[in-house]
Amino acid sequence: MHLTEKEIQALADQTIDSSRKTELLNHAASCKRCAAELSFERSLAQAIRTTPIHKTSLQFTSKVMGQVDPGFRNSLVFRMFGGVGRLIAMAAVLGVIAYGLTLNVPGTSDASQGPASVLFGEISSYYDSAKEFLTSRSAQVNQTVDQRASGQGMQILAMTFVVLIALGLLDRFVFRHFVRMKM
Amino acid sequence: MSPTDREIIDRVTSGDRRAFARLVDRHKDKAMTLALRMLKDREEAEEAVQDAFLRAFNALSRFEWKSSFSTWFYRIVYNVCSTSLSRRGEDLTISLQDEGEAPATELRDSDPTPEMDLELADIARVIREEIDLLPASYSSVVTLFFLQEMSYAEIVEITGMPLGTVKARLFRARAMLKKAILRRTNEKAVVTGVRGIAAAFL
Repeated sequence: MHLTEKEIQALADQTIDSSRKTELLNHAASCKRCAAELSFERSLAQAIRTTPIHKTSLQFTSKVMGQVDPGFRNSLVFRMFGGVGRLIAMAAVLGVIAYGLTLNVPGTSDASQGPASVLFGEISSYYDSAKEFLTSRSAQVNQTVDQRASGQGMQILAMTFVVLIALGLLDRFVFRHFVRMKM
Repeated sequence: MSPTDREIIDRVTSGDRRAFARLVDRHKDKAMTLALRMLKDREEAEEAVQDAFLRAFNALSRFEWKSSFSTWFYRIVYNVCSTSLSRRGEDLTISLQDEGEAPATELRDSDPTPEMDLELADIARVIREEIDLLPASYSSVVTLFFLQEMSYAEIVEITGMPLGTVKARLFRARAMLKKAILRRTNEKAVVTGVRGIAAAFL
């Protein structure tokens, strides 16, 4: 005689009547077949309990609160600063990576630099130009707009725009994708 | 120390609407798990949970603490999801009359001895996949019992099903999961065996 599946599940869940518990446990202790079933049911129950939960999206609380309390502005502020925060974090990480890639390893020449180093060099030179441009611009504030400086300014603005778009795309399609995958 | 549900609700009902955010943060993920396992669609599940929170907020002043907040709230989530399923033409109450107590099948010596011969990470993945595949009427009961750690009585209160039906669904859901795990274990054994044979010949 063996235990029923129902009794084994009740033992595994500890929902069995205390009056029958000892009797059933004694049987399981002396019966290999029932002991194996009980062990399996316990493992299964434990595995189900520890199954990861599904998470809501990042803005869920803000969305709910926006409807609960029309005066709740935190959602907007949170989203704005949350987004900017991610961009800054990504920029910092990319900066560190780029810095690492552009480090001159002793014994190597400039010619051996990879595309990332070249790109970083380009961006750095544009921002050096930006610094220079702003300094010269402040001195010429009341003078006629200098054609060369204006062209340089446009280049800097374009470069800034491209970098921001690239970071935004990284955020939208890479960062958020991984966040969703983790959930 | 974080405030209890009761303390938060007291603050909300006395006018501090923003305190409700803590309640949302506390229950949103488990509610989402229940909703997603019932509706099988992420977007729809999130909308259902959002709707449930709004309903809970609007009814908070009428909440009488006859049960815990979580039991009351999950009942709302369950009802919202049931309504969504009904709109799709899926009805959780179908065949309720046909489901009695779980059958008391005794083990037979001829039955194979179950072994959970999978890696821990594999087991978690398999179980998650298999629970997601269960019909809503089963996955909801499994989620409430195992994940929310609710008693039979609480599940009866949330789902409105008779106790026998809750027990029967839980029993059958576990049997389905057990079958799936054993099937995957056998698949793994077959794959390992085939690899072994292939390795011996190569």
